[in-house]
Amino acid sequence: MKRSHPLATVLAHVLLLAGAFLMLIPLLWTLSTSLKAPGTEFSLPVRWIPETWHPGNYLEVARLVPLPRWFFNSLVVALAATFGQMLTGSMAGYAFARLRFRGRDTIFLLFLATMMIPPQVTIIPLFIIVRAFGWYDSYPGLIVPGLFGAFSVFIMRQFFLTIPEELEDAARIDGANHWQIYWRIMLPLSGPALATLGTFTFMTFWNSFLYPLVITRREEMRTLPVGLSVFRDTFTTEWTLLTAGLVMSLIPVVIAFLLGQRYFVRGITMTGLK
Amino acid sequence: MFKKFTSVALLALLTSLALAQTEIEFATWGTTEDIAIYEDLIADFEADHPDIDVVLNHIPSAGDYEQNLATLIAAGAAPDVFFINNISLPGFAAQGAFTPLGEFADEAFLEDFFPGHLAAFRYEGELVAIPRDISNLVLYYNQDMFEEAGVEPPSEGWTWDDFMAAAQELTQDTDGDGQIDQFGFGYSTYFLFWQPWVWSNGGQFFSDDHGEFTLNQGEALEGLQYYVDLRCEANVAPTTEQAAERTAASMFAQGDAAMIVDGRWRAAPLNNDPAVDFVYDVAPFPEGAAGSIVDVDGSGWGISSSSDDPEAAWEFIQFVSSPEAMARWTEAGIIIPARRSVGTTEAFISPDVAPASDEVFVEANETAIPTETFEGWGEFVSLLGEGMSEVWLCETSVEEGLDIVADDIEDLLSEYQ
Amino acid sequence: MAAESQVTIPQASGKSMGPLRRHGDGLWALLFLAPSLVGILIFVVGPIVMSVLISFTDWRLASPLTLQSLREDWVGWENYVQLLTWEEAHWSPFRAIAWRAPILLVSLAGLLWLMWRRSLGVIWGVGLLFLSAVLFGYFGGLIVDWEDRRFWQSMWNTLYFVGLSVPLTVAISLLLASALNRQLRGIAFYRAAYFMPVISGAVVVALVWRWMFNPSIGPINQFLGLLSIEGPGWLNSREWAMPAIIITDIWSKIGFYMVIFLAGLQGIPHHLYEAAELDGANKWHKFWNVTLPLLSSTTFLNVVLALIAAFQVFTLPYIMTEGGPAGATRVLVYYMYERAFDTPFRMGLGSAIAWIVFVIIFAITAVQWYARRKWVVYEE
Repeated sequence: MKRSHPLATVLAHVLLLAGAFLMLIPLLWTLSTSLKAPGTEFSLPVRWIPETWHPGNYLEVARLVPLPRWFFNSLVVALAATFGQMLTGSMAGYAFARLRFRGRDTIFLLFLATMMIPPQVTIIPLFIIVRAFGWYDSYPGLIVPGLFGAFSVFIMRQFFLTIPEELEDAARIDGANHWQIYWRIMLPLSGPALATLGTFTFMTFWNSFLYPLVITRREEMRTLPVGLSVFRDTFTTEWTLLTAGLVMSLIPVVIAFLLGQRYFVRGITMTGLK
Repeated sequence: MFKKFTSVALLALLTSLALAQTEIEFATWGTTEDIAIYEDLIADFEADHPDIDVVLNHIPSAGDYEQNLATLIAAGAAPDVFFINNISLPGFAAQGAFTPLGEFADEAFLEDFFPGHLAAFRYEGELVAIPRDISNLVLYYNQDMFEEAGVEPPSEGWTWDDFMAAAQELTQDTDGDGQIDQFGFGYSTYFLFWQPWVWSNGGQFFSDDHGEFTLNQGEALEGLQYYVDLRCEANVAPTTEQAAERTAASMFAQGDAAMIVDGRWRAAPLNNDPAVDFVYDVAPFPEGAAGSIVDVDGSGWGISSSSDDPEAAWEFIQFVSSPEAMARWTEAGIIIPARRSVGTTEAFISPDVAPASDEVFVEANETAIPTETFEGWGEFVSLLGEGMSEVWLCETSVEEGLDIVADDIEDLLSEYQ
Repeated sequence: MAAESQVTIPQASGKSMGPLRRHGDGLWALLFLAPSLVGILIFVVGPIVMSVLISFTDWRLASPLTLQSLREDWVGWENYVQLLTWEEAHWSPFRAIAWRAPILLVSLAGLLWLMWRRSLGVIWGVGLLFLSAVLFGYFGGLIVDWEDRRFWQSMWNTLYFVGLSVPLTVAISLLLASALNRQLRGIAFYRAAYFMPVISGAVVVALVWRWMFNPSIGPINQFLGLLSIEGPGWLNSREWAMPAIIITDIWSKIGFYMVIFLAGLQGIPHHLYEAAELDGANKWHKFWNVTLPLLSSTTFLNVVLALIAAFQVFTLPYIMTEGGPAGATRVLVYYMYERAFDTPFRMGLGSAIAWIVFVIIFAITAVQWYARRKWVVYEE
C-alpha cells in the first residue's frame, strides 16, 4: 500500500486521540474516585485529580471483603465459559457453515432465536432447572450453563463462512474427515475469531451479575461483581470503596483484552493465504 | 499421635451424625458493618444451638433485594428466615410468602414492641414479621450554620412558617458570585422523604380503604405542592440543576445545606465522615396544619411459608431480636431499636455521640404513621414517579403532573378492592 | 464503477461441492452440534418454554413456580389481550402530514437507491413505496386509546431507540474498524481505548454519562456553552432524554462491534485490494467494492446482534433516567421489569411483554435472514 501523507497521519492521530480520550472517561473517573478520600467524591467543582490522595481505599476493600476468594471464583467461571464456548461454539459453527444436513438453516435460526428473549424472564426457570440438578450454590451451577450459547455459535459460523473453501480441498482429497478438517485447518485459521469470541466471553462472564447472584448464597461462592455490590446500598453507596474494587476487578479484563487483541490483527492474511 | 487424631475425628463425626443437623438459611441485605454484626450473632447462636446451622445469604444492594428474594421464593429456594421492610411486605404476604407468627410470638414476647409499629408488620390481621428497627424521619440541622446566620435553631413546636423563615435566612450566596451556594434545605424527591409534608398537612395518599387516590386533591395536594415550592418557588432548596447530582445527605455533609429530613441511619455516616467539621443535631419535623406526622416504617424478620423447620427458624428470630442483639445495631448507630427497652438504654441515648437530642427519634413515634403501602405499591411508586418527574423539574404543577397517571393509579387500586 | 466488474469475489462456500459432499453430513452434524444442542436445550430452551407458559398465567413472582401453580393461575390470552387491545380508536387519516414528510422522503430515497442498485425490482419498489405511503398516511392519523398506555408508550420509545442506535452503531463501528485496521503507531493503544467502555460495565458507564449530561456541571453543556450554544436539559427533558441515552449507548457499544469488524477485516485477502488498485480504484472504490461486500457476513452478524441488544436495552434507562421524565425513556424491557419484578410481581404479564419483544426481533431477523442471500456474499 502507498504511504499516507504525513499530514494525514497527524490528523488521524489527533482525531483518534480525541476519540480515545472520550472513551477513557469512565475509566479515568473510576480510577480518580477510587483514590479520593471518602465523602469527597462528589464535591464541586468536579476534581479529576483528588485533592488528597487516598490509596488506603484499596487496602480497606481488601480488609472488609474476601477479595482473593471472589477473584478466584470469577476467574474459574470466566475461564471455564471462555474455553467451553470457544469449543462448543466453534464446533457448532463449523456444522452450520460447512456441513450439509436437513433443516440446517431452520435449526440455525432457532439457535439465533434463543438470544432474542429478554433474559429477565428466563432466569427463574433456569434457576429451577439448575436447582433440580442439585447445583444451587455450587461451582457446577455457576459454570455449566455458561458453557454453551447461541452467540458463540453465531460468531463462529459467520467467521468460518469467510474462510475460502479451497483451503480445505487439499485436505479433503487426502481423505481427511470433518473432524480433522475442523481441528487441523479451520481452528488454526480462526485465530482472530477465536480471540474475539474468547475476549467477549471472558468479559461477559467476568462482569456477569444477575445469574451468579441468584445461583449462589454463601459469601464464599460469590463472584467479584456480586460481592463488590456490598458497597452499594439504598441510601448510602460507598463510592470510593466500590470504585477501588472495580479498578481491581477491571485488571483481568484488560489483560484478557490485551492478550486477545494481539490476535485480532493476525489472521489468515498472515497464515499463508495468497 | 495419628491414632489419637483419627479417634478424635471419628468421635466428632459420630457426634455430628447423632445430632441431626438442621440447616436454616437466612437472607438479608445490609452494609459491611451490619453483616459483621450478623456474623457474630450467628456464631453465638450456633454455639447455643449445636443442632442448628445457619447459612447466611447476604444479598447485597438493598435496591434489588426484593427482586432477588422474590426470585428465590419463585424458584422454590426460599430462605427459611428473611429480612424485609414493611413497605414491600404486603406484596410478599399477598402471595402467601410468610408463616404467620401468631403461634410463636405470644403477648409477653410482643409487649416490648410498639403496637403501632407492629401493625405495619401485620397482613390481614396476622403478624408475619418481628421488627428489628424503626425508621422514622426527623429534621437534621447544622448548628454552626444556624449560629453564624444568627437564626434560632429548630425546636419543638416549630411550624412550617418558622421552617420557611429560617430556610430563607440560611439560603445564601456565600462567595458573592451571583449563584446560591448554601441552601436552607437539602432536597430529596424519593417518596419516603416527602410523605411527611402530605400527612402533616392533613392529607393522605389514598382513602383509608385504599379505594380512592387522594394525593391529587385537597390537603394532600396542598402539602405536596408546598414541598415542591420549596425548590421551585421559594428556592430555599436546590433545584435539580443546582443540586447537580448531589443528594440531600451529601449536601448536608459538605455544609451546602443547613437542614435535611433524614433517618437514624444518617447519623453513623455523618459521625464517621472526616469532612463533617460542624456540629449537628436533630429536631422534630416542623408542624403543619395537622401536626408533625412522619413515617414510621421499619424492617423485620419473617419465616418463609415453605420453611421445613419453622421452629428452628423461630429460635433464630428470637435470638436476633433479643434485647442484647438489638443493642448491638443500636450501639453501632445503625438503627432505632424496635424494642422499647433498648430505646431507653445507653446503647441508644449516648450523650457523647452526636446527635445530642437522640430522644427526638423516639418521640417522633408518638404521632408517626406507616407508609400507606398495599399489595401494588411497587407499581404505584413507578406511576407516581412518572407523574412527578416533570414536577420535580419545576416544569408543571403537582395537579397537572399527577393527572397523567391518575387513571392508571385508579385502575391499579381497583384491582385490589 | 470500473473496479466493480474487475474484482472477482470468491465463490460462495456451499457451492463448491467436494467429493465427500455428495451425501448429507447428518451424522457429522450431530457430532458437531451435540455439545451445544444438549446444553442449549436444557439451559436455554427449557427456560424459554417455561416462560411461554408463564406468559399465559397470572402467576406472581413471590410464590413458588410449579406446574400446579401454572395450572391454577392459567388465564389464557388475557395478558396479551391487555397489552394489545384498545379501548377506543378513531381515525383522522392524512392528518398532520407535515411531521411525517421527512420520514417519507428518507424512505423514498432509500427505496429509489435500492432500485437503482437493482437489488429490488422496479415493480416491487414502486409497489412497496405506494403501500408504505398509504399505510403511513392512514395509520399515522390513527388515534388510539390503548388498554395499556404504558406498553405502547414503551413500544414507541423502543422503536425510536432501535431506529437510531442500530444503524449509527454499526456504521460508526465499521468506520472506526477501517480506520484502525492499518499500520499506525500506537494502534494497540487506540484499539484498547475504544474497547474500554465495553469492559467498564454498563453501571459505571451510565453513572458517568449522567454526570456528563448534567445541564449545569456536565462537560457537554459546558462545551456547548463555549460555542455559545445553550445546551438542552438532556436527561431532564422529554425531548432530549432519549437522544442522550442513544448517544451513551452508541458510545458504549462501538468498541464491541469494532472488534468484530476488525476480525472480519482480517479475513479479506490482500490481493483483492491490489487487483483493485491495478484497476485504478481509489480508496472509496476499494471500500465500497471490496471491503463492504467481503465484510458482509460480519456486517450481517453485527446488525443482528445490534438489533437484539437494542430491543433489549435496559440498564441505561434504568440507571440514567428510571424511564423518565414522564416515561419518555421507558422502553419495553424496562416496562417488563417494572411489571414483573416490582410488587405486585406480575410475572405473567411481564413474560407476555418479553414474548412480544421476541416476536418483533424474530420477525426482523427472519426478514434479514431471507434477504441475506441478496447482500451477504458468502451465503448461498
